[in-house]
Amino acid sequence: MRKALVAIVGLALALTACGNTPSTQSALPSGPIVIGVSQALTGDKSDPGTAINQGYAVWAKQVNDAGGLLGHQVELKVYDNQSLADTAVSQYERLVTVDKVNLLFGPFSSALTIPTSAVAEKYKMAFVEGAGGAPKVFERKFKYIFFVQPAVAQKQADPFVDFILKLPADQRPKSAAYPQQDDPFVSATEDGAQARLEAAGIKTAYKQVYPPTQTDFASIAAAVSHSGADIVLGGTIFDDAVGQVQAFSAAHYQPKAVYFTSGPSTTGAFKQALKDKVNGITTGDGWVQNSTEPGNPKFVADYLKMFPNSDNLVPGEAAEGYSVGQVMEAAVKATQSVDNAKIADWLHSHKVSTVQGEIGWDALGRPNGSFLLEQWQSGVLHVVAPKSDPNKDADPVYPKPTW
Amino acid sequence: MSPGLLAQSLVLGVLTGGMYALMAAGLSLIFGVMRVINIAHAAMIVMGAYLSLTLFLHLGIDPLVSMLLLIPIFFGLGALVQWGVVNRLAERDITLTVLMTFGFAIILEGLQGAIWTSSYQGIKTGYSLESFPVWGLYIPIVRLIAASVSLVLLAGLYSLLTFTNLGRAIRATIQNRTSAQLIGVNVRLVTTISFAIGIAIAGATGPLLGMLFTFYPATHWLWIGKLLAIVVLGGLGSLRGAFVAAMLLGIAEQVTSVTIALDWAPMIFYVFLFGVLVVRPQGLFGTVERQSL
Repeated sequence: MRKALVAIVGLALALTACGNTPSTQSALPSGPIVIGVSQALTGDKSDPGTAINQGYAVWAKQVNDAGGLLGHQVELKVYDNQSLADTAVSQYERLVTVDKVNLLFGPFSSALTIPTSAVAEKYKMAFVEGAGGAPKVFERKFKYIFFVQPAVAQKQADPFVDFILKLPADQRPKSAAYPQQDDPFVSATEDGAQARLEAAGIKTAYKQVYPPTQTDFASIAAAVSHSGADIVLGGTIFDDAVGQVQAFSAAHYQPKAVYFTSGPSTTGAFKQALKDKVNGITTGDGWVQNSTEPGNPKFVADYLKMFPNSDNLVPGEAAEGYSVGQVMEAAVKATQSVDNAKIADWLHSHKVSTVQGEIGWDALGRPNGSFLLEQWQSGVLHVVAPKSDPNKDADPVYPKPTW
Repeated sequence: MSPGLLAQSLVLGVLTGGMYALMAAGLSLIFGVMRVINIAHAAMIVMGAYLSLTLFLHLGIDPLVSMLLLIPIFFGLGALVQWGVVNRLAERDITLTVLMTFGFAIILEGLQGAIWTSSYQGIKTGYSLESFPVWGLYIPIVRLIAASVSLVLLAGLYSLLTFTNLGRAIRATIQNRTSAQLIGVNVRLVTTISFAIGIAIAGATGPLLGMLFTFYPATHWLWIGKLLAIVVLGGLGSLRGAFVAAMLLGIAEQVTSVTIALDWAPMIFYVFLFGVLVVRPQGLFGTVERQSL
């Protein structure tokens, strides 16, 4: 009996010890450097999720063609999490503990980054991610997370709000509608914009939150249309942005400006779904296809070679994924290792040049730049603000053309 | 809230309710005849949507045309499944059929995920986004088509049940299986045909669902909850009840989402259901079965 008790206590202690031991693989492998990703390749986030992974793939191919990273080939180990948070969490656990990958890249969207970054933190793995910028991502004061976009989610709609507030008094909208998905990234962006617009006297005519499973937008469109809102700030991921436009169009609702938090920058899929109804729609992003940032033309050319499409469009999320690769590459080269503790320390004290511009991080992994205002015009997504940005290649169109 | 918005949401509610009625009709018929609760009913409807999407994307077949192709295919499959599997189990222990149709639903969901992935899909035809104004209200064409097709199919089903010998046999079987058998109804054949008709209606609803709503393999769980609420509210096995309940809930859902809040809309189904069941446990049009002594 006593022996059994000792054995159980011993086993319990051993298991506890296992849980506490960082399983980070810090030494350089003899074979390829394996990078683990659990991605939303199917499910409601599949369009942007797939686009991010395409960015990872373009980066990996370029690195391998140039002789690899520290002389090692790079291999992406990818699982499909079906846009489900629980699945993503268990897949990152598996990537670290079973597959014993050397490095990690993040999944699409804050909703999946929030739970999965806790896994990376537990195992002290640097979690470089291009699509999780909601406040909740950084609230837990993690040391190993790095968000690779110019700024955090709350600031995403700032360029749009700036533009609206600078309009001459006779053109300025009087009210706004905020139909939005229940999502941490979306609510951060929407709340930030709504507070600023209300403070400037632009009334909230409609605000409703719908679940990610919402598939019918007819009643939302009817209510937004009858609210008489002059502009719409749709809190969307992708499919719901498409759904909203289709329903607005069917309800013959013609707002003066439309902003979506996410969706319009997944260029190819968005244009394919909406055709010429995309024109006039705006979004906030850190990158545009014809950006003059160093390395961008080569990224765009290689992307279109690997993922050719009839419109020759590169989705914004692919640039985010590619930037994640660039950031990790810089850190690995600088530290001459895949030691995740060293990589995290290095990233906290350095800036990295990416196709989205130069990005640096504070102690919580938050970038400190700002976003661009982008608008679809004649079937192309242009940078329309701020004026000072070198990539600005068109003026904003307001009011937007009818759909 | 403006009267215009209320009127618009009523119109949307009636059109959506018509669609719900067709979705629930097959479920109600199958329960009426066999006392089988087909948990896989919505998964079969979603299957119809996927097949219609594939025919549309690869062969350019309009969803309304593919509906005509799907009806006989699903009828055949329904007959096969009833005769081969459901019937054997139902004769031994009717409660097992719930578990079995639950299993069917999961298999169909997995199959759809494997073939079409779990990405969101929709059937977007050239007329998908069209609508026309009537007295200041906008009538979305696809919703009008879906509701009209529902009405036509429901009228067909009603005529079949009311005016044909097969219909009389089906109704007799619904009312009392043993007595129907005694007066010479081939209960087994009637049951197989009824089940097949129920599944054929599910197949026919698929293309309409695909045109109106976004769908993905797991969407059927959202739908089966609504459909069960409709058939229970209407009275299990009653076609008329299912129709009235579908209309009520379709309207309640649309009006709630514009007057109260969007997240209240799915809940209103169950609030209605509880309310009715407290007052009328047999549902709106259900009949109370006499207990045998």
